[in-house]
Amino acid sequence: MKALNLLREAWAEITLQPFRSFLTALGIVFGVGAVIAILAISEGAKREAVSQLEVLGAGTIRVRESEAQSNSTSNGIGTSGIYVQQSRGWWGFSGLSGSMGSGGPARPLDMKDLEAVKDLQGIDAAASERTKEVSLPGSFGDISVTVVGTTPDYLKIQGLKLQEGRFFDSLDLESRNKVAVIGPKTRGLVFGTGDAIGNIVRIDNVPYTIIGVVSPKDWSGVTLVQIRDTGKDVYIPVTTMAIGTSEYPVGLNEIILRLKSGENPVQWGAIVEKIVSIAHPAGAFEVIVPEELLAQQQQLQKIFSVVMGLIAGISLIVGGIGIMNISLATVIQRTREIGIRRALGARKKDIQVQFLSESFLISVLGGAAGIFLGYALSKAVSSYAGWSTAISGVGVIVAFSVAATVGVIFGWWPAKRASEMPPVDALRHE
Amino acid sequence: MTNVVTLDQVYKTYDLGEIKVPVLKGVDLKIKKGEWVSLMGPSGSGKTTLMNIVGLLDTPTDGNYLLNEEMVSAKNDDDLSNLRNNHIGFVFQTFNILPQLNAWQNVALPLNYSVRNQKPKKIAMELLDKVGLKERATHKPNELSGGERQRVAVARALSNSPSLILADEPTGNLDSKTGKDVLELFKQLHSEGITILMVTHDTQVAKRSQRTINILDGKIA
Repeated sequence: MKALNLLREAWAEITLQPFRSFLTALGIVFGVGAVIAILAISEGAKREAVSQLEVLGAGTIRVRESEAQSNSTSNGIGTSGIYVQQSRGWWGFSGLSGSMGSGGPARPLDMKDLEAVKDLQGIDAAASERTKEVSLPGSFGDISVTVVGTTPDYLKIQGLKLQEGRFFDSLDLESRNKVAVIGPKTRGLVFGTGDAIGNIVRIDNVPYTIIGVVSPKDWSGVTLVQIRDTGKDVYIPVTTMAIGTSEYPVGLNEIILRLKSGENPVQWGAIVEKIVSIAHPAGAFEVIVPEELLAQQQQLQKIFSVVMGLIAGISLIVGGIGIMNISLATVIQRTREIGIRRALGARKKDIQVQFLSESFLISVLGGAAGIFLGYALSKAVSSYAGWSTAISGVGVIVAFSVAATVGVIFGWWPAKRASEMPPVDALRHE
Repeated sequence: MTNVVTLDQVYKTYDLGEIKVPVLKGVDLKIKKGEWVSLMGPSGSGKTTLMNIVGLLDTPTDGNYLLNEEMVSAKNDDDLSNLRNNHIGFVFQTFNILPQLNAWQNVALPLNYSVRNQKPKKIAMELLDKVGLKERATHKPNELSGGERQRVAVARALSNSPSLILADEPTGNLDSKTGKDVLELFKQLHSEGITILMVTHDTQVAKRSQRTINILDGKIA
């Protein structure tokens, strides 16, 4: 009740000069805003990391033809649906490329590369991906789908599930069987609500028997690497896909490896790189380790957080000094009031608490405004830098406590000075 | 009759570093319960210092001060604050009511610092009624006339039912008509048995009180 009274009086005092109070609180507003933004960004980054690893699969390594190369290869394989913005550095050596003596474009990935790495000690499973865009006749006109030539472990590695039928096995792969597993969207567009299993789908005029349908999977959380919507995929054995081409070994767009649990993805990524580069000295491929990309991304965000943290710290200190400054001026301005209150029986402590509660309230209000500013700031950052952000309850509590603490610390001395004024002198003050 | 105020050879000397300025030079003073005493004297005679000491805003350099027969000369700051709050009501020449608070909040202000459990608004409203300002309870000081402000100040001085009202030229800033009204109020308080010590320059005002004390050059004349 007493505290409520104090806050009510402090509120009356603050609203007496709203513009001055606003200026006083401004430093706190920016400081707390920065704190909220940092916490929101790091929280968002943490959540994003977790969800990306969940979707991509922790402990996977992807070897794919590099972006620059995929356009120049003329092996009939379509552009990979997946790309990474950055080409990785050190195997792009022109010196090595020259040693091949051919001068032509670097070789694409092929099944031999898959064979070379799939039995490494740390590798649990491996799958290939060879993609091609084709048109299928659907019930509402032709639909464009991605045909993926792959191997039986693909389902497991990509974390996909079947909703109907089965996936092809090693026997289908060896026998080059004309079987296909389709994505849920393709199923809907081609067969509607009718049966799909056992039906025929024609890919480049070759009939394939549908043996399974995969369940939908949401890839939207992944921003680290771009992944096409797998809903319209059609999976066929990679060996069958190569029928009619003269390729040997069969060319691939991507090799996906899954590590045994407990293996270090970054270490194995480096080993895979070395092995693949033996066959590809010109380096037309890149190795993607999601953990590594995440670490890089987080490093960037860490730097950002440190910079923002500095800004927040400086801002809070400056804000605190602003509060102290104004409070000192207020104490002098209100000397007579202090004298009156002392004459009426206020103890030193009462005066101190009165002035402290004013700086406390200003800070807390500034803190509340700062939370909104921080929210807006983190939204702006996430739309500008493409980082996801999340305002956490803990963040709000932390920011609020910081604001309140600043108010009390920087308000303490002026309040102390106010209370130490001799009542007689204070009363005489004009 | 008990003595509300007893001053026994009170000295006050201001130490200005190199020189010492004696202001009170052995003041003896007794004020009985229910008395209305006027204090007169030229400026520089030590009136204000004496009032500050009696009001527990300042402490004597030497001598004893007993408030309600209780020794208060050696009390600490918190105790003095509590004594002021419980036993003394101040009425100033310049009213000294807080501009940001309305009339009843000003009247209730001393109750904020009291340990006694009270209903501040109820008490304030009763006192405003007593001084004839019930209708003005929610007005801010800048919406009140000088006489009304001083009546708010009187009501505030009464809010903790003090043993002693200290009034420092309460009519000094008022015109004669409103000054008269305020003096009427003091007369009424006196008739209710409240002890009053009032500083004044005006012999007409002093005549209204029971007893006039003259102070001259730091001593009671």
